[in-house]
Amino acid sequence: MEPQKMTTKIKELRARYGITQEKLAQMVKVRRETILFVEQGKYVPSLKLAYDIAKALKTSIDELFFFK
Amino acid sequence: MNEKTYTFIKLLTAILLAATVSTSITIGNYIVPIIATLAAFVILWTMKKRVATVMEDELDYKVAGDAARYSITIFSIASVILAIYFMANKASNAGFELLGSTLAYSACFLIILQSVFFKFLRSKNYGTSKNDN
Repeated sequence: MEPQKMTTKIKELRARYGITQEKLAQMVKVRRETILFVEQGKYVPSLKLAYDIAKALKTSIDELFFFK
Repeated sequence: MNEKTYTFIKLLTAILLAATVSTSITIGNYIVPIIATLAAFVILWTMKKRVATVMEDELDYKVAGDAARYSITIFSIASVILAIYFMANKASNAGFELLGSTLAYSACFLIILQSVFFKFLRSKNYGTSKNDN
């Protein structure tokens, strides 16, 4: 089975709320690079981090992350 | 304290520790290096706690796990190949047998240690990470 590719709406929502990667990283207590990798779909975050990011961007996990 | 200051303190501590250890060993004092190493560990541990920014997160832990796995695999395979080579050529050099045995036992010890830790950590509840509340 081929691994599913992850895409996110993090960048889009960050732009909507005017939140920088640095600021989001501070909000969810991770390094900025981690946010960058998640945004690029290179790193699939843990459920806890996905939940924290979704909460910080005022949305839900299923509206933020997509697997295809 | 910010990350830059911590990195500076870390570098300074490493330089001082290296200087202390090398000087102490040169003059034949083996107590000072132990005390200096412990002191450096305590200093860095205390300083790290004071850093306001996040210095490591779940991605770092994952990468560290992967790096450890690759290291163990490469070390084990290399040790076994070298151990076989040294054992096969023990007749040509007296030290080869000891060298081969040391490498083989080191690889075995490392694999056993890894298996024990894996089993122990796997049996624990691993649903929560260090960062979770």
